[in-house]
Amino acid sequence: MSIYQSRDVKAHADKVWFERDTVLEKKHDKDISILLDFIRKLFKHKGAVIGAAIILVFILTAVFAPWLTSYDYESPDINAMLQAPSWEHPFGTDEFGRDILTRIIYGSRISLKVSLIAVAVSLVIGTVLGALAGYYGGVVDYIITSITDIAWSFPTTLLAIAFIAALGPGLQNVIIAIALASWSGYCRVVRGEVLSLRQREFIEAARILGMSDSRIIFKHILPNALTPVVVMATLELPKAIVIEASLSFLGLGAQPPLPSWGVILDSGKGLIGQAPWVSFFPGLMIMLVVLGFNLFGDALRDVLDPKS
Amino acid sequence: MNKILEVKNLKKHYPVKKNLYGKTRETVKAVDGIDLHINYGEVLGLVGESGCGKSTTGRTILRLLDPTEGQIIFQGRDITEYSRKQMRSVYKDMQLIFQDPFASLNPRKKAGNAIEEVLYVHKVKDKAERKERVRELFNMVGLRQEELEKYPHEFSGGQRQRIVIARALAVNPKLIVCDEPVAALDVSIQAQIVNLLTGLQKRLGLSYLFISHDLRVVKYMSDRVAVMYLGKIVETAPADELFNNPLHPYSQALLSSIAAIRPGEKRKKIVLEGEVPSPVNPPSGCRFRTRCKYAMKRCSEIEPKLKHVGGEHFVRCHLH
Repeated sequence: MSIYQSRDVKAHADKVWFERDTVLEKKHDKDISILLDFIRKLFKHKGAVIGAAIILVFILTAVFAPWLTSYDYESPDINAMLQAPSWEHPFGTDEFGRDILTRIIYGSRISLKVSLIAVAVSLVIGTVLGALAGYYGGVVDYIITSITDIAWSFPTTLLAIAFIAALGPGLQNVIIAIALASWSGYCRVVRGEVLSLRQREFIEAARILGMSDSRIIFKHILPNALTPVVVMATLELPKAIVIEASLSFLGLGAQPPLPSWGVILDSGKGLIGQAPWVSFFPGLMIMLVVLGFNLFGDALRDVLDPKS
Repeated sequence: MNKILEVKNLKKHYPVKKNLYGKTRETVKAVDGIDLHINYGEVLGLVGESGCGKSTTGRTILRLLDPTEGQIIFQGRDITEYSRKQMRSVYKDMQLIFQDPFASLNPRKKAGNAIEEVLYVHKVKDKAERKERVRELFNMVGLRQEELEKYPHEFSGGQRQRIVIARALAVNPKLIVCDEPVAALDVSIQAQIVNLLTGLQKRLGLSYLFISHDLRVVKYMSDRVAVMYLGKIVETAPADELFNNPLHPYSQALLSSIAAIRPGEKRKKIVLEGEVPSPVNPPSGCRFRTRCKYAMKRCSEIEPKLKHVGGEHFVRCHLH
């Protein structure tokens, strides 16, 4: 073999080894790259970006409320009653002279708190019941599915009003009512996922490897069933915000002077002719936030859909 | 007592059609009265074509399916009626290797963690000890330590099957049911996995119930072979004897279908006529009679018994 030939061979071998190493490196980065890929896809989606921006502003507003305004949301100011929007009061004032912007800023705390807790609680109730129904089947499934179907057949707001009627008005009861009225959706979704996962071989494998039912459900089935639940939760958050506002508007939720968006909206309904800004701005805020969550939730569903 | 597993008259029937009152009208007789045993340290091959009930047999023995009738005796204990909880103690000694390694691994668990979890469940509480054992198992099945941190989708088919094998070995089983462990793999990888399984069996003194439709693999792996047709075992014999001198007409046809290994080698192929009859309505008498060229009048009337024909050779046929 001539020198040239052997050089060629060596160069070729180097190239092969180089390619092999790069492939190995790439494999190691796969975890991160899946996440990056997901984020990149999400940010290509216009709806996701707009939705995320609105949600971000909403959350920051709620968290930093006291720093964003110099007014108090509670104490009346007789000198500034029902003023139209101006530089001093960008969203105007209500019949007690309180700054609407301030009340809306503080109101975002209530909306965020209620929606997060209510969705978290209903998610846990729905997921656990759905997992039990799907995993055990038989009588357990029959009972849980029947209750779920009954709960599912009522409009959520109506059901929440019924719970409030039983529990009495108040913010805490609103959270309980929303949670109790909206778990059925999660239950149905999780049950379906679990039903299909239960047939998978790795669940059979877990059984043979001596794992307990609770370990199989919580460590093997649920982590694989959560994607649709996460999407659903982002779409349930705005619903919870609307229901909270509706209940407060009807006087069943947060009680004045608490600045729930529903309460502010309600306080302006008699003044709609002379001071439309009292009702207009909280309504606008509800619409924007709901729009933001819906845009983001829809985008999330599109991106997480393996067929996309 | 040297039998690790004994199965007596095992049946698994599935109801398929129910009438108006919920009474079963038709049943699929997937496994219909099987007797077999496996000795300590022995590999029993179970062969037959697709749909003959091989996998159902394996799964019923592991109690993943409840038997309709019969007895399963494992290490002297009758486990037929064991509850789920009681079975958990049995699974320390009896494991399963699946056909599709990808489906049998949790997609969200790293290879190392999947095995460590098994040790945790089986009361190895010391973390360092668990890690050490996982490393040892990885070594045993020929996986590299770097691969502990990878997810199942990052492995090749053969490597995945190695993980599944390591996971099954984690509990120190004595009997492993191998349900077509190489059928889903590339032919080039099959030999590696077969060699790994054989090596482990010799080294650890394991017993296998090796279920496969690949006769060459079964011949290589097994000490004894049982041939199954339509839910029944038609012949059992030591591997060498069965492959050299098959007595049942079905075994003869099945073995003649092995592709010639050396080019130019001449083999007489026996081509069976017709289809496998439905397990809902199996033929009367001998189940193979509809496709058997030796079928006699007696075959449709009396079901042949499993007859002892010398040594460890049994056959279910009126010819013998």
